[in-house]
Amino acid sequence: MTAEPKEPLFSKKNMKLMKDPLIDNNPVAVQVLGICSALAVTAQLKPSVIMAVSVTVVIMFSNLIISMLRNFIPNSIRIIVELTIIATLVILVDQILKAYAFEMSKQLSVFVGLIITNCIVMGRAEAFAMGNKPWPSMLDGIGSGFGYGIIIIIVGAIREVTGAGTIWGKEIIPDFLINLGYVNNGLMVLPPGAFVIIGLLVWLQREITKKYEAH
Amino acid sequence: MDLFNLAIKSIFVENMVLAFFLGMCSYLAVSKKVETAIGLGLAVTFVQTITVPANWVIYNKFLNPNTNIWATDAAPGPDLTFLTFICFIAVIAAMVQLVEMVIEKVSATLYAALGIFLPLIAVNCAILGGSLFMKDREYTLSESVVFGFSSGIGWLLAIVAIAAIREKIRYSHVPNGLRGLGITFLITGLMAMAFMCFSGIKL
Amino acid sequence: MDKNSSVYTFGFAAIVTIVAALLLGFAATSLKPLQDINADVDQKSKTLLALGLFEEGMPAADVQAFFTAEGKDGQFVVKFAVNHQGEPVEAGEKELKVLELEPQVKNVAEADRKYPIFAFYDSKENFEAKKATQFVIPVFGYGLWSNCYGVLALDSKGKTVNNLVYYKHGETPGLGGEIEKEKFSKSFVGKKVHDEKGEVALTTHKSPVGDTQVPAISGATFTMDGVNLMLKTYLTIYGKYFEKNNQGGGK
Repeated sequence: MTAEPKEPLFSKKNMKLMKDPLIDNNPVAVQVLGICSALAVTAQLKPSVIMAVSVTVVIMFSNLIISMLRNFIPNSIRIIVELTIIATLVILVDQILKAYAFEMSKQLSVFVGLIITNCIVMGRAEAFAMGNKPWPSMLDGIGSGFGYGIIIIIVGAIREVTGAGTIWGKEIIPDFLINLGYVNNGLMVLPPGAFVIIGLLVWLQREITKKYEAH
Repeated sequence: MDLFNLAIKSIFVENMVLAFFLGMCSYLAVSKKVETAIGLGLAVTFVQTITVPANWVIYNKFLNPNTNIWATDAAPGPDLTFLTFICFIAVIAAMVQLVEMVIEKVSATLYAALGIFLPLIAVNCAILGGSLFMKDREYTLSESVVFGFSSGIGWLLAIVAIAAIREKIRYSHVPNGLRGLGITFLITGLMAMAFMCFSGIKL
Repeated sequence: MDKNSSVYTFGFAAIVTIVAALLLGFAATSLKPLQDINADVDQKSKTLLALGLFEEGMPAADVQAFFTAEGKDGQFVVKFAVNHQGEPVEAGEKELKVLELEPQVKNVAEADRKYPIFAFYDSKENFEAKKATQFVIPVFGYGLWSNCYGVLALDSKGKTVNNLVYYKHGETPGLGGEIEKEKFSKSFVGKKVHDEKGEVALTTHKSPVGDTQVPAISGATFTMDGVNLMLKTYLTIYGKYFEKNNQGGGK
């Protein structure tokens, strides 16, 4: 082994790997990755949280494993090996959900399987894990997972509150509002609601970071 | 008639992008020009029409314990359903490779038009999503062919529509922060609302 | 060793495949029993839902207990199957366990279908005398967007509705989606299945009159049409069983 200057586990550089994807370089809002599943499960908060956790777990381990194997993977079959590792992890998550959280796995239905093609997982494996050491790769995975999770949890919370008047399945709209004629906005629970909310979130994120796109 | 209904349903009512958010990544990334959007849309339709029935065969003949080739009337065969995801994704990756090679050999013009999009498709959620829906909804073989083709067409329709709108919107005054991704999402939201009008259509 | 040689590539691919297969095989086999219980409980809880016996977070063992020969708290549920003519048909234990309406409607000819039905006994005496106090039948059909799945609890003669619960649907929230709400379920309680002529008449209606009509949810015409159709279809089919059963009881 060549002697390298030892870096503390939670050095500034490593922490940046975790913090960056939250706002500045959010995978969903900036890199346009992982939108597919980000929206379909967000009609309610609970499945959003489960999805966020599942994706974070998958991306963390896939980054870790791929980074550990990065010097051994033959270039010609790189993509398919990555896919196999990711698919294996996703199947494990699916099996565990089916065994311990059956209701949730039914609600998430095909979207657990679709984590395999979630561009964040593949994207981080290709862009980061293939060229970095295991520990930073894992942190990068956790950071990207959180960045993704934050978005879908926000979207999920907004959609559930405005669309169904509940949060985590509990009624939160006070009775007097309903008596005054308050009605839930059913459109929020339908697909268009998700598109509009995420569009507005992207707008907010752009205004905070002041990084604008050309047309 | 049932098949025709299914086709209408998967193109308009249960549109891959607008109702299930599938294939959003490439939908957003490759929708700046109508021409490229058509290319990608056709490639997706093509691959979808092949992979959904191919995965139907894999799932029903090998994985599903009740219908696979080892199942007898008396006892179900081995339950291999836990391999579903990995088999589907492998079939998709292999099919995409195969299609790429065949197109390259057969037609240079088609390859020039579709070639660059094919590798992108292996990780397009709409493709895997289509196969998973086929499994979940227990389609028959003929239904899966129709579903594969028409869900691809639905995807093509959505991406071409948004690309056309984005070409026009270049000349509009969009607020700075909303430019690009933000406005695309909002427009997609409006499109999704418009497509909801198709719900309930039955022939 | 050369990383780009075919031997290395094949070897690497083989190792990855084997490791992944072993891992998944192990996980799938060890989690299978738990998953099977989950699926079983999930199915059984629907019946209990219609009978008003199911509570959120009920332990799996409790749910399954109702369906055993020992019962739970002196209450018993027995699943059996009838054919299109309403005659009870033989079904193996394994077959009966997974017997559901939907896959058959799609793949099996009407004459060969086996319709699942649940008999509920409220005491040990009734259980031993085979005197069911309630029956539960599944209903399903197309609403506006999606298939709606429900369970319908009827009295011992199959003439009065005790409960109707929709547990799965993809209808518009706030409109057709209201079918899952308690308010809609409640409106069915005590309604009669047949009109004076003995025809199946239970239906939803904008301005309900008589004891066979239930207030429809406004703004959900398509969903209501679907509900009406599935009630008519399955009450007619299962009605033949109740007719035979009632005659048999009268002898």
